[in-house]
Amino acid sequence: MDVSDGGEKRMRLPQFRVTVNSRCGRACFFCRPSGEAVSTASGCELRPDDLLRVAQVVRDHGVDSIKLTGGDPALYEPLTDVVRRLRDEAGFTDVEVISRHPLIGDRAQELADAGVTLFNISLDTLDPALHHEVCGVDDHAEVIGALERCVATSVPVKVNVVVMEGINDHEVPQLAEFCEGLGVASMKLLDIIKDLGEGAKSFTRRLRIKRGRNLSELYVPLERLAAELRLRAVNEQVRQQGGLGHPMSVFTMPSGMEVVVKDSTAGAWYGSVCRGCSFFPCHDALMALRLTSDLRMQFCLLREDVTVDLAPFLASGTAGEMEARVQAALEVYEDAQFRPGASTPQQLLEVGRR
Amino acid sequence: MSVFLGLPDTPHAAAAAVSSRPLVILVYPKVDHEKDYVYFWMPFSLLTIAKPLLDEGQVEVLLFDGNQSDAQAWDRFLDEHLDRAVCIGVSVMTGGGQIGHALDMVRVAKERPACPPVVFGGPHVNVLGEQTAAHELVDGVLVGPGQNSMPAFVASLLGQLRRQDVPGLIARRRGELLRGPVNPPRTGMMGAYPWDLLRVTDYIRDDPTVASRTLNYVSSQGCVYKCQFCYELTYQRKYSAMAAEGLVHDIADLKARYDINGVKFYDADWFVNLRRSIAFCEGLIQRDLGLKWAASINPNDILKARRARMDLLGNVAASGCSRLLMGVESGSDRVLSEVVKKEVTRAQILDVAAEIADAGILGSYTFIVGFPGESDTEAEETYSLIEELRALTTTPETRVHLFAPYPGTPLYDDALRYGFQPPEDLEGWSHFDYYTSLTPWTSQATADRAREQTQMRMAPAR
Repeated sequence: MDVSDGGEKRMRLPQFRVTVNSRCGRACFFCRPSGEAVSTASGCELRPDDLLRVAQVVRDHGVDSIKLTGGDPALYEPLTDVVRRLRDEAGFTDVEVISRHPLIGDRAQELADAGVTLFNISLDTLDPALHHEVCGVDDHAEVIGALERCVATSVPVKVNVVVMEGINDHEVPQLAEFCEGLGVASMKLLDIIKDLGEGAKSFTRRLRIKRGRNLSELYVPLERLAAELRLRAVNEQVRQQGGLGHPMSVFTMPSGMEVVVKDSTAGAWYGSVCRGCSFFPCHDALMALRLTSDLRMQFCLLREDVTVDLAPFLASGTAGEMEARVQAALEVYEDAQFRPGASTPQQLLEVGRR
Repeated sequence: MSVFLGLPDTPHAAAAAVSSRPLVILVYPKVDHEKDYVYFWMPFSLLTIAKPLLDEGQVEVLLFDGNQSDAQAWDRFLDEHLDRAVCIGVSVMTGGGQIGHALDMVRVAKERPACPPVVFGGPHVNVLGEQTAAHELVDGVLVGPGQNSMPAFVASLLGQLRRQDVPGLIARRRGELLRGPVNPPRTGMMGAYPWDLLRVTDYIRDDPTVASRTLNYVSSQGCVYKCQFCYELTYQRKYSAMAAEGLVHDIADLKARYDINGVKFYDADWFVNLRRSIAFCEGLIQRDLGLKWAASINPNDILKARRARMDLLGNVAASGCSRLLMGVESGSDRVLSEVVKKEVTRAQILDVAAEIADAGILGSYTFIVGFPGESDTEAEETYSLIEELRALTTTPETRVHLFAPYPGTPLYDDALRYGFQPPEDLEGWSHFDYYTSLTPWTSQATADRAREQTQMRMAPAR
């Protein structure tokens, strides 16, 4: 097994994730109305020019990859234009679109033509009834169809699976086989963000009504699944994406598809904004800088009080103000420190101690 | 990749969960005061910095006073608080061994896995910022008033301000020295201190020249005079002070809360603003607090009051002032005018000292011997002035210091010309002492005589 960090020698930079809009039309057990963003009003959408202005500053600081999420980008009318501009004007080399809406299939080819480099589609089950129960929308077949259309573009497709104890954890092998069969490039298994119900409005109430359970009870230690995957895999490695990525186990299946296990107990990066935080140690920590659809920069998934509102600086038009704020936010990540977790691979502990 | 095998699973993390606000730790390292001097310093620099940090509401602040707590207490403090600290701010002045104690404390903190950035500030840093920033234990320094720079530094740690926009910051960043904009010395009106950050009762003492329950106080920053040896010059003669009304109110509050009966002001010159001085006296008289107090005064303040026909010393005495400390520096008119630039003559000093004595106030006069280029005859003039002052009733206190070349002062440059070899780095300065470090032209005999001529009231005398 080898250990690659993908960015150890570079300046430490976060992922850059943009929630282009604030709603997705679903109500998944493990999520919240505004998705990746802390509480954001319904109907918020980023103006493409604002998105591009902020993204350009982030790009100028060396971040060459951007992830468009939400809400749901499939519901964002100017998505194709934005993708094209992110590639052509801002110079991003990687543009990932993250969706679980059937409409993404309708838009897949034009997005591919515009320069999307990765489709990231969420699919938690092969059971249409369970899909309906988990996300509140009865459109499993349409989501599968959208996934197929994304694969058909030849742009790599990643499938995200949130693994939930007693709900879909038994399906993981079948999901993997299904994705391999479709020609999906990779499948990522994610554990539940246990604190998501604490920081802002969430859909955990649905979970309590439908299953009588709390979000934290759905947590599955992914090491258990990794043991099963290890039996089938032809290769296994540990990967850290970018400068601040979580250590993830990556299993290569006989088909060539990778199964990535993002286990929150594998450790995470923390910085000055995490000091004194009541959620510490948490699930995502300082993995990404997020731009929300109401123009806030968000350091982590859970804290509303440490966001930076860019709207006044974009509105004022004063040269350099917004740029300075973005740079200030990026500096937080530069000084981040890795805190190992219970399942941090031994190799990374040794790298860290050197 | 750096790793901290942190402590969040300890009970301290549970305590931190009470608040999501990060913590700023402010440290005042121990100062090795001269043994025969009554001194009970409060960390006013930390209180001054803490106030705007608390006012902005983003962080909690804890102070650690090395004059009150030892190394074991520092260890326990780190156990309890370090994991939620966003930074440690350390205030250091030159001399008194404070820099050495600071480095010892920081070394202990840095040995811990999750030590946040450590930033130095204070008088020594104001002059030798770059040299201080070069030390391996120092992550950055803040030059200039900390109440301007520290909130900005904390904002930068919280992602709200670029590090390069922090006023007065000098820090290494990606192998280069990063410099923030100039942090101007002006600080604006001072407000009441956040006393609750300290256990005030620990600082109350029986002061033989003031009262049985005396608390120290600093009510202003800066000085308008030009004494060439003085560190205050590094603040470019900018002066900020608490308004008289607020000051009286705060002292009345301290009396009510802690039953103090004396206040000893350690302002560089408490009387810079004569109207404030008179208003303070009137306020004390009006409120009839029954407090004794003491402060420092420049002889020119008294001369200025005379010209303005203000009954300064009458008001001061009537309000309960028991002691005035005056830096006389020399009995030689040449040294006073050419070396120190005291803007006062020997005759004027004797004159104002007599007025202080006549007002029934204990005078406490300090002198310096060993100025660069000072002759033996000129030093003798200082000792003869001391004798003349001692003839006053009540016999004043006298204290003779050895000249110490402080970086950033005009006389420091003179001292270099006369052969003084300064320490070359922060470690070197950590051994420099105000009371014992001799310049090449100062003999042990000179030092011994200075000590012999120092006569202070050491024991409670009521």
